[in-house]
Amino acid sequence: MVAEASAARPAASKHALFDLAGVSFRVPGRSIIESLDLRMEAGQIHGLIGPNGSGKSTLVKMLARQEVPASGRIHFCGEDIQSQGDRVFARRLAYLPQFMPSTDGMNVEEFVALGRFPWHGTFGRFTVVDRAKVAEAMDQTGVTPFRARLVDTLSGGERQRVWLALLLAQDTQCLVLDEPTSALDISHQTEMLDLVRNLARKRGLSVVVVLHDINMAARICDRLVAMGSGRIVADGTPADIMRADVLERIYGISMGLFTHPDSGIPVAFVR
Amino acid sequence: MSLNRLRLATTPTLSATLLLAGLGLLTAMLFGWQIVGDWPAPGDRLAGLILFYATLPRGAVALLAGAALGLAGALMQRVLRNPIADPSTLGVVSGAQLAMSAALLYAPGLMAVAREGVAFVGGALALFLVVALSWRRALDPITVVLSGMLISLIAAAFSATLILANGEYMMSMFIWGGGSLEQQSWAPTISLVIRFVLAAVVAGLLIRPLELLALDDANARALGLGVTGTRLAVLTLSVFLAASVTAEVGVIGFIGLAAPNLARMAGARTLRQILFLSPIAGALILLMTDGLVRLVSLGISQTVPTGAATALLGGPLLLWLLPRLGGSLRVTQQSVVLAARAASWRLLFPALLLLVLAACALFVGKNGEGWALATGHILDLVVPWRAPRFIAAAAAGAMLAAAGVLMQRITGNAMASPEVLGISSGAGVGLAAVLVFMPAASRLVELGGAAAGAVIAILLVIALSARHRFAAERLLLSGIAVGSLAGALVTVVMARGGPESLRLLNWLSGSTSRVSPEDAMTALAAAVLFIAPLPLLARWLQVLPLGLSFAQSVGLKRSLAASILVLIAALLSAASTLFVGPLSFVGLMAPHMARLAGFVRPIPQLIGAVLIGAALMVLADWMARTLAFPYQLPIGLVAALVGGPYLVWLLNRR
Repeated sequence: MVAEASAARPAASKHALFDLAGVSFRVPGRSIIESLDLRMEAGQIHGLIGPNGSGKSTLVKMLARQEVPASGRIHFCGEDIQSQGDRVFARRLAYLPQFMPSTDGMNVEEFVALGRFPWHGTFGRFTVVDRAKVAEAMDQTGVTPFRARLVDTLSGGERQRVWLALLLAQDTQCLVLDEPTSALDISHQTEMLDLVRNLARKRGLSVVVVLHDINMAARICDRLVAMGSGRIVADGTPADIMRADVLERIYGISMGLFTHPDSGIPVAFVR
Repeated sequence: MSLNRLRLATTPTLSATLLLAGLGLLTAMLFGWQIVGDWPAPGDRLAGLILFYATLPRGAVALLAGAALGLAGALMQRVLRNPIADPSTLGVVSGAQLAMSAALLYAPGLMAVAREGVAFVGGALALFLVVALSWRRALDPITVVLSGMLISLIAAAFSATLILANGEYMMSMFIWGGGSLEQQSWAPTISLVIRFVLAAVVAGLLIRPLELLALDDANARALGLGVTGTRLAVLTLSVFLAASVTAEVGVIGFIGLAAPNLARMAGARTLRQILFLSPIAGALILLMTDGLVRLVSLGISQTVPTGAATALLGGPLLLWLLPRLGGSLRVTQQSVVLAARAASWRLLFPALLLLVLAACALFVGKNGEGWALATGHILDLVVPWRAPRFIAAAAAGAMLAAAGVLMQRITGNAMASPEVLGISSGAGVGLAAVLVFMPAASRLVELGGAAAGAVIAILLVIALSARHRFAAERLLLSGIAVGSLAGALVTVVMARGGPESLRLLNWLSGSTSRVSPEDAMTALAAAVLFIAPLPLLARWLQVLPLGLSFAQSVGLKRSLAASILVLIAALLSAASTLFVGPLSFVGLMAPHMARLAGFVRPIPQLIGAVLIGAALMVLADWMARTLAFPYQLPIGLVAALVGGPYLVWLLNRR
């Protein structure tokens, strides 16, 4: 167990979290992502932003190994992403898909326990460590009170937290989240993203998150990568991105900014 | 989905247009070549008669029947908003066939004067049942097609039973059931011309209401359309077309399904274009198939029924079309069964039920005077007869149930099962191949052949639907395509009329009455061998229903896990199908009943389903033995009659 745990956590400081070189992705008749170079550092929260159809989702799917690039290479923690075994990879990176499947009559606890699959595998025993990790993940996301309820009966915000608990139970160093807030109202969006940020800080996680709301993204991310037509349009800290000219380049409409009256951070709006 | 739609819009359907043109050219060449071949030498009056009274009317009937079926399919697809609707998938054809078989036996006089009428009544009854069954789900496409398949299978089983019960006399009925286009006069042509023209005129008159049906019902009503009346009129019209064809030339499947889709692929977009092109496409497909059949049967003496060959041709065509249909299929969300979860000790209840039924099967039966409890030396006499079929039935039921659990969990789709997805029919093809090529083969070889057929069928279905994440429509459409293809292959073999025909017919109706003790032991061994390892794989069964992408993200080697489970499911289906035939629906029912009883997690569901499946099949076998005493009913038919209403109830539940 100890050996496995250290194998799953390569020295994060030496290598970039992700290192992409010349990555392309195509569907018949169209190129979604064209020759992309990108480096993401470990321990940071990266926000992927950009208009619909800009290739954000495709990019995170390749980062989570759900899609294979047509050309180019992706290194994850210094190793070729395709060279890692399925379970080894799932111990290093947890992925939240944009559209979540129905959970087939499972209750919350059983569902979160599926996150331990990469550790115990098909025939391995479900150990005390597994049980503790599941309990910890449910505690940290606040889903313990409804551990016995069926996942399919939960509200949108609760279900999102249950999925986050599953990702935490996977006990990885990296989370990849594809639009985790798309179905939530504004208060649950804030709650969810604050939870992600706090947990990332507490557990020292690296996060890649696709977000639609630029203000939300600027609030929680350390770095923003803006995509458009399968290319990187802008890349930098929220302060670099939250400028009228940069935002106009990203979204293609005229935008302005004002200063938040309480926190003092810039807030973008459509002119 | 959206990418697919995009591709459909940007890349023109040039290949399909070429295909249609190529089809036309090939068809014309084939038919021309036949006419040249049959052209009489000067003064040869007999050859002249053959040309004029056999070759030419055969071509004309092929064109007309194809056109009528194409039109019927296009109308049904429009009016039900369902791209998989057609006279054969909705049970109309099987209903007509059953009505005609029954009339031939019990009212031959009626058949002589009103063939078309009998066929129409049978087809209309079948369609009425299908519509009634799916009415509460607002004629939702999946429900309609499932109900259609159900009615169709039950009708086919009844027909097979009638034929079996009446022996040699009815065997020719089966050849006719395969759809033979052979002609001796122009009378059928003339009859079909009149009917087709009549129907086409009515369809032309209904074109405006039909156009409005492109909207949903509420909008169509708001525009002042009597939606129900229009539906009824158009459906009656399509039944009229399909029943006319069935009455003249027998069962010809697939044309109504393939023709409108081919028309759409060739670029027909508006209703008028589709209604115009579909009969043309249907006529071409049928004439070409018939040409190929004649070409092939020149070499061998046996006739291959054209109807069976249509499915052989139409099946692959549909398989080819499927991935290209793009976004035209609406993905409906499966309703999730949220039963109260039961504690595992409650598994004792189905176990107890199985025990009670087992006791019934062994001790209770009928004799000349009525119901009788076998004891003492009577018991010693009947047990050697009753025990093997009880064991075989229980083992087959258990295996079907386990296969159903596996299929439903692999695909994450509650409607998946060996019967619905054509796996059982695939096993039938394997069995047929063994019977033809190795007539003296042992049960084990037969099992191997059936398993190979099942694996191929299951792989085809999965390959066809995987890319759409096993969306319900896609999965069912693939299953129906594969199942029809397999069914057609079996029909072709049966139409050869050799000794294997009767075996296959017996298999089709599903009979345990000739099970030997060795067979029973084989079934039991297979059940234990294939079901026992499954609890070890419970974690896969837990993860896979959430989708392949989820499986991947928790590090499950999804291709490996899915392949192993698929292989086991195929083996289970093949072994059970060998004993109880292809149509019991136990593989669909048992997993559901287990789930409804509260056994939700993989291992309890598996155990519950296996027990319930075995109990159901034992009950069916017992009823098959006693209901029509002293006659034996086929167990498959009884199981389908028990399971059919359950499936209907399941479909109608909100």
